[in-house]
Amino acid sequence: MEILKIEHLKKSYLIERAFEKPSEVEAIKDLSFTLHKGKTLGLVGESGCGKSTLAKILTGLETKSAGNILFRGKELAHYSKAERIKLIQMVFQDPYQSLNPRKSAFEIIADPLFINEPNLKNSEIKERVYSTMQDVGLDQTLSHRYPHQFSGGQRQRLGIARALMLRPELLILDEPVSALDVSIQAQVLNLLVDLQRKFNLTYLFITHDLSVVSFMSDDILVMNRGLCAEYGSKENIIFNPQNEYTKLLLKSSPGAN
Amino acid sequence: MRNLFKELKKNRGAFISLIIIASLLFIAILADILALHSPYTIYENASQLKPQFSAYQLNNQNQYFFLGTDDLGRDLMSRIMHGARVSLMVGFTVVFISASIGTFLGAIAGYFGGLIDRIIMRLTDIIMSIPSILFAIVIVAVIGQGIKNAIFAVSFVAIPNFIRIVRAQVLVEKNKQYVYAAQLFGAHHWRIIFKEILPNCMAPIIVQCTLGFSDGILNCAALGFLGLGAEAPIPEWGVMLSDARSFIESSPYMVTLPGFFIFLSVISFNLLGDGLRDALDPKMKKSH
Amino acid sequence: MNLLDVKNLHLNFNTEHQQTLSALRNVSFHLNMGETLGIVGESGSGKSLTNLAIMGLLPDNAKVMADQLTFEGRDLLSMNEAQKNQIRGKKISMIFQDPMSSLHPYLTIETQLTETMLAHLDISAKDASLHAIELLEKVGIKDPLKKLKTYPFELSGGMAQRVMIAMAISTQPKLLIADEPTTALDVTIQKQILDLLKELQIKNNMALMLVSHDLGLIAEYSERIQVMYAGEIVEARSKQDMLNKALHPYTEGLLKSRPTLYSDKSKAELYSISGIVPTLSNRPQGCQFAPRCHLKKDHCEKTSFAQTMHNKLSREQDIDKIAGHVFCLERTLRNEV
Repeated sequence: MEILKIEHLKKSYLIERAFEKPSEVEAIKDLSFTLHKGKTLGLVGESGCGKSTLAKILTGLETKSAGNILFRGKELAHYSKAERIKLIQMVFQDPYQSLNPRKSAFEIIADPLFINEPNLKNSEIKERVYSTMQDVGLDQTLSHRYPHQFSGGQRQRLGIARALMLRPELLILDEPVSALDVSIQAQVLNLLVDLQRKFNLTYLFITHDLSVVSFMSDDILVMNRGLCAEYGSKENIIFNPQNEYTKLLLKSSPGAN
Repeated sequence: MRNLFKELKKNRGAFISLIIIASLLFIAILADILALHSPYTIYENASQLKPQFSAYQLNNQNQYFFLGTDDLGRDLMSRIMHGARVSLMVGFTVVFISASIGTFLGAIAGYFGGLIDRIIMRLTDIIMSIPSILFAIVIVAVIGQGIKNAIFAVSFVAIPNFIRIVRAQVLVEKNKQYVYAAQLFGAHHWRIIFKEILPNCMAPIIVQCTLGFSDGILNCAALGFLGLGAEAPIPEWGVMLSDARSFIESSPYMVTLPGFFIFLSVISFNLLGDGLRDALDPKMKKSH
Repeated sequence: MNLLDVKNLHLNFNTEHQQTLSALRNVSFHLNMGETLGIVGESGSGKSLTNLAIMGLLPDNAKVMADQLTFEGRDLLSMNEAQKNQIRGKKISMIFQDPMSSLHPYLTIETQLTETMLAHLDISAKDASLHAIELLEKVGIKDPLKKLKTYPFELSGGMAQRVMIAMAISTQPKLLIADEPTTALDVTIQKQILDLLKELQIKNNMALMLVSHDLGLIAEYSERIQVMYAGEIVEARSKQDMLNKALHPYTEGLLKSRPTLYSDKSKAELYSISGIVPTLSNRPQGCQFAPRCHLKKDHCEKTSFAQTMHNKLSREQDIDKIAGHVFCLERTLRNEV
């Protein structure tokens, strides 16, 4: 089932510099793809390709310049902010910066509930927080600790738990394991796969690591300078790439052979 | 907090300052009990007495004036002690007013940017371009003298310090991913400012509060010295200093005592503020 | 005599609470001209500290001890700052992870490139600038004359790292230490930078120490690989041997848990090593990896490997061979080693 359909998305920024005419920078030139429920689309690209801009547009931090974004057939901009928050959520890259250092783990995870479901009783909130912590493999006795008392992998789990609290349908994962040690990466990736199966989540998995994207994705979209270089099923992209840029990426991946 | 205290202990100056301030606080709070006389009582035959341990015969009673008396015959020790109360209250009020207004303005300037930022920063620049004591004098000249007006004037000129510090810190924090995350979960702006960003700005605010305390005391004493601050007979150290000018040769202790206490409290708050800044800064980095 | 000889390097930190934290233990290895030694380690492994120990760039509260720490036969531990400065930047160079934070933001490229040369070589400023242009060409920067006058913020990550490399080789060092040189760069640039390093190594017959957390990267560019965990070297062998059969369970875990292009979530979950790396203050007794090891037996947590092996081996040469290498005790006892 199609859950997200992007058609000819464009996004340009106006850069104003003192004493110069304002210039236009096209972060996304023309992008089209589809996400199916319960599946993972791996978004691969290097810096400047537009993947962070795409994440910002989908989460509402930026507005698109042109094109259609259809969530379950309805234009995303037509959903209210409150509705959109419960549909699309995000897990961030930096396990150190993405958690407020002054809040306890419990407060961080419960925040989305505090903000969006103010009528919940404290006991209900506690129950949901603890159950989500269990889902991501964190012991509930750790809930009173502060971020600096957790390891990188545990912090990412906190970030995932927080993103799951509102039971979103689509989860955007922005390089979720890039800042982690290799032995921890595997733990978190396995967790993400489990969660996807358990809750029928749809993932937009942004990364630069082709091996990780190969493991996680059903379909892959390769972005280069705001355009789609190649788009297809994982098998096609990894084992039968057509585009030169895709081939270059595959060749450059260290030890991918 | 415990860690903070331990860090602070390492800095000798800051630790001693903490003790001094605590003692001043103690004296200020219990001035009524500790002082042997009221600061307002005039002993007609006991004016300009030097500080003495022995009793002084007055109307067939033994009176003790450990720090001497001023030209009107008022006990100096009592006036100094009550003066501590006045000064600390002044400092506290100045800090409270300037910190709350300054933090609020700095936070909205940093967070919202744009026109609000520009307006607030230009106002800050204007206020900061004039030396603070001068500006305070102008304000008091306009609204009239008296201790309440002096406090208002001194608070006003202290606000820009907080605005700048808080704005700088907010600018740093607002681009961090946890703020982005909060926006994503639907937190509205005010919630983000007060619950996410400001708690992470506490270190520089606390330091500035401590330093602002000393500035507040000093500026109010200066206004008092110039006759623009507390009205007689309030025992404010600056006013006492000013009143004692003509007696500098005959009774120098009338000048040195209030002067010394002004010096002591200002330097203690300054050293404490420096010590706090050092204790809090590396901690911020260590906890990463 | 090897170019770089490290035998039983120990590094301790003295903390404020009179605690001594052991950061490196029994680290031993050697390196010669023209060789590439790859050092693999995750956070907390001590790989960066080893580099800093060689360069003499450790903080004051660090205590370094070693049976031997020599470069070209000269003892690095007993040198004073002046002597160390003769070697640092001139004979041993180092490049770091994030080029944007390693370059001075207010100085032009020309100033930074020539600074090293003027400090170490007997050369005039004009000649240094000419040499700088040559270096920029060598590292593959087009338009070197124009780039000389630019500032670091005008460069991309890849170009900035090339400038760092140019700076590092400007004095023709015998040993180049590259500490995570490509971690902050895009994947296509990574390959270019590493190929460049390899090319320069061959041309100048340098010794190269390549340090990274990425085993795949190290495997592709090194002849010998050394795996570090929690301050110790747990395995050190030739690339072929290690990839054929990893001896230490940690290395095995690293190799197995790294996804490849053939990984697929629907086929099998990724192999993962449970637990986390022990922190400096929480080092376990006995084998450092035991708490996370699937082969763990009782003796692993009690005795240290070195002790047991000393008892087991009688010949001096054998003891020397395994000095500083902590192999898996369990496997050794099973004679699988």
